[in-house]
Amino acid sequence: MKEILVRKLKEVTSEVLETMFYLVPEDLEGGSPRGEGEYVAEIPIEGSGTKAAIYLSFSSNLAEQMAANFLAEGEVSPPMIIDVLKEAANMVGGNLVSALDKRGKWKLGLSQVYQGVEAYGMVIGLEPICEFDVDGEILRVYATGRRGG
Amino acid sequence: MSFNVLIVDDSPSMRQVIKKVIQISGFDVGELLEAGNGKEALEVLSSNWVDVILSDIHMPEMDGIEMLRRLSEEDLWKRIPVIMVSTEGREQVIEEAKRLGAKGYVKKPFNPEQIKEILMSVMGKEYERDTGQEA
Repeated sequence: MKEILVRKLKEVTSEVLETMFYLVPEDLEGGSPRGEGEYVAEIPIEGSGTKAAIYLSFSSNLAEQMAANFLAEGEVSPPMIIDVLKEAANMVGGNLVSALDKRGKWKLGLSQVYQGVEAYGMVIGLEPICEFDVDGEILRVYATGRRGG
Repeated sequence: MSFNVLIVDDSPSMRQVIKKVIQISGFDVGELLEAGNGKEALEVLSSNWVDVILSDIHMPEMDGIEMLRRLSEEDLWKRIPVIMVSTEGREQVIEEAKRLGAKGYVKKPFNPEQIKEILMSVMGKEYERDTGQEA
């Protein structure tokens, strides 16, 4: 199951970045140097007695680049950057659920974005399940899940 | 033929992207109106003439499916074509949207051409329906 989840997460993350952000992510199979991103976008997923969440960790540079590409604007305000990252997490989560849950038992929650220390706190102790090099910046994807939610 | 568009999405940045796509697509657009969820969309509709709605499905307060249900109950609103623009790809949700009257569906992530094509298709059919002529 984990292999399918990782494969689908890689597929949907790449599709979202390429189609809406005009960025080409390269899969970092061997992992990357540590150091967490400035922003973490969380998308909760719930269903079949399980509570899960996907976390996307972005550096400031990557977040700014994504927002600028998405909105086709040179400079993007901080609140708009946060909204763009929320939408990115929403697209990744939504497409993952659509790919894995054909019977409609899973439900997406509302995405949230954390910044700075709060962002670090969201992913501390977690191992990324996939990592990408996006124009020299690292994007890490984490997932958590527990039964009985 | 100019038409008014209502964009319904809880993400301001996504509304901005869809607006830009419509503006650069060469349509003769009158007003581009916005709402952050289904409830706000109904408020916009109560005081504005809208020719086509592009709406997300997953939104807080009132989602796109409930909005479609409310639209289908009002004579004045049920003829407004609605195009769903969503990350939702599950067959039963899309079928439910179509059963409630959605005229089209675009999956996020999308490329600008997809929005343009579906708008041309849906508004072309509306034009034919209203005038009896091909768009």
